[in-house]
Amino acid sequence: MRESGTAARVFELLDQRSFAELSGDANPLHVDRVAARRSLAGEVVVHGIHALLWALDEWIAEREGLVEIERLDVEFLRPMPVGDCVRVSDAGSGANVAALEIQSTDATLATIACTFASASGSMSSGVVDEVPPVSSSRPLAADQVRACRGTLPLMRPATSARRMFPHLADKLSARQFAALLASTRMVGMECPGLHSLFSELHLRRAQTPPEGLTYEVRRFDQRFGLTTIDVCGGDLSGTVLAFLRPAPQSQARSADLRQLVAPSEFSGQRALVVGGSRGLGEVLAKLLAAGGADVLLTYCSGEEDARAVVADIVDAGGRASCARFDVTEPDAAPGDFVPTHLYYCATPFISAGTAGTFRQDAFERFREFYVTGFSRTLARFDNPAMQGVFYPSTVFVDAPAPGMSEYAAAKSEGEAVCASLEQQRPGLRVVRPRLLRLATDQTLSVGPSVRHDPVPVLLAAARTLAA
Amino acid sequence: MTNGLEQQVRTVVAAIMRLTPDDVGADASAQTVRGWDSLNHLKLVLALEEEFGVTFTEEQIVQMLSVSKITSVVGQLLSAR
Repeated sequence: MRESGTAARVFELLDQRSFAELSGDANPLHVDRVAARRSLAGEVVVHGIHALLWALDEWIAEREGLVEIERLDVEFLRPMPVGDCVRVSDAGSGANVAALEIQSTDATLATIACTFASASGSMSSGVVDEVPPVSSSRPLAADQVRACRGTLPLMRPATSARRMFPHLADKLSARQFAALLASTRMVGMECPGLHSLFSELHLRRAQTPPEGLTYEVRRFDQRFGLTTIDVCGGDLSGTVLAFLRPAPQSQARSADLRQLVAPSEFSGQRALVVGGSRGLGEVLAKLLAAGGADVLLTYCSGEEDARAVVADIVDAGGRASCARFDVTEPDAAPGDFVPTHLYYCATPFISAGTAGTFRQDAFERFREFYVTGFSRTLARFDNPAMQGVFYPSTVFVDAPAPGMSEYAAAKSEGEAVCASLEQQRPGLRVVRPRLLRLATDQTLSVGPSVRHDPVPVLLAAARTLAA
Repeated sequence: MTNGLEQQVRTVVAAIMRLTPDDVGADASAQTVRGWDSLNHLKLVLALEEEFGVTFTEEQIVQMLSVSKITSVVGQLLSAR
C-alpha cells in the first residue's frame, strides 16, 4: 500500500464468516443473506471493524516494530456490501499516523484516523487465545438498550488473527486488537444487538481494568435509535456510536384484514402474487385471500417468510400456497398454476444512489426485475382466463427523488410494458398505480421518515382490478 | 441575521456532506447535493443541533431537506428561546 497509497479487495461471504468466528460478531446482517435482505441495508454488509482492521493491516504492512494505538477515530459512513470492490486510500498519513479512507466506486464508505505509539512488547496479558463462544444476537428493544451495560472478555485467537490480518497480528498490541474485536461483538451481539448498525468509534490509549471490555450506554436518542456507549478495556477507552435500526417491517395479520374485506369480494380469482413473501406482495396475498381468492404467492429466497404468510392466511380461513419463482431466471416455472390475476411485486433491494449521479449497473438491476422479469412472467403465465394485471409503479416517476432516478427510470419502462399489454389485450384490465412510499422493508430508515400504511392503498388497487 | 444564519447552515451542511461551503448554495437541497442521503441527513441533524443548541422534532427532521428549510426551522427555534 505504501508505494501506490492504495489497496483494493472484495470482501466475500466466506471472509465474513471467518471474521464472525474470529470476533464473535455473527450478527445476521453480516453473514446471512436471507436475513440481511430484510435489513435496512438490504444485503449482507461487511463488519465495520473487519474493514477497519483490513485497512490498518494494509497500512502497517511495511512499517517496523511493535505498536500501540494512541488514538483512533473511525466513522462508518455507508454500509459496505459484500461482493463489491472497495479500496483503501491514504488520505495524508504521517510516520505514525494512518489517515485512511475506504471507498467504493462512487462513495466514501469509512474514514479512519489512527495514531500509533511504539510498544515495548506484545501486550497480550489478559487476552484469551480462543475463539469467542457462538451465541445469538440479542433482539433488544429501545428501553433495554437504554439500560445496557456489561463486560466482554478480551479474546483474540492468534492463529485466525494472523491468517486474516498478518501484519496487525504481529505488530499491534494484542490487548488492543482484542478490544477492537470485542467492540464489534458488543455492537452486533449485545448492545444494541440484533438490530444494530455500527456508526462511529473514538478511542484513546488509557490504563484500563484487566477484566475485559466494559461498556455502558451513556445516551440513547429515541428519534434515531442513536446509542452512545462508553467503552473501556484493552488499554483503550472511549466511545462507540451505534444505531438501533428498525426491525424488518411486519405487516397486518390476515385475521385483522378480514375485517376490511367482504368474504366473497375476490372469490373466483386465482391470484398469482409474485414476490408475496413480504412487503406489498404479502399484504396483497392476505387481502385477496381474505376476500375469497385462491392465492399462489411466490418467493425468491425467503421460503420461511413465504410459509409464514401462507400459514397466517390459512389460519384465518383463507386459501393459499407458495412456490419458489425467481423472475430473473428465464426457465423458472412454479408448477402449473393458471392465474386469472397477476400481482407483480418482485423487486430487488431498492438502494438509493447519490444525488446527481446515474448508476448504470443499478438501473440494469432494477430493469431486470421491473421490465425483463415482468415481461417474462407475463409470457409465462398469460392464458385465456387472465383477467387482470397489477403492476406497482412509483410516484418517483412523476417527481424524482434524490438518488432514485435509476429506480424511477426502470419503473417507467415497466409502465410502458403495461401500456403495450393493454393495447395487445383489450379485454385485460391493467392497474399500475404510482404508489407513495409505503411501509415495507424497502423503506426502512434509521431516522424519522414519512411512510404510508400499504393496506388501504393496496385494497383500493385490488378492488379496481376486480371491478 | 438570516444571511448569517444561512451561512452557518451551509457550513454545517458542507462539513457533513464532505464538501466546501462554496459547493453548498443557498438553494441547495437533498435533491441537488451529492451525498445527502438518509444517513447523512441524520448526521446533519445531529450536527445542527450541536451547532445551534436546539432540538428538532421528528416532524421538523422530515421537512429539513434544503438549506432554506433548515434555516427557517432553526430561525424559528432560536427566536422562540
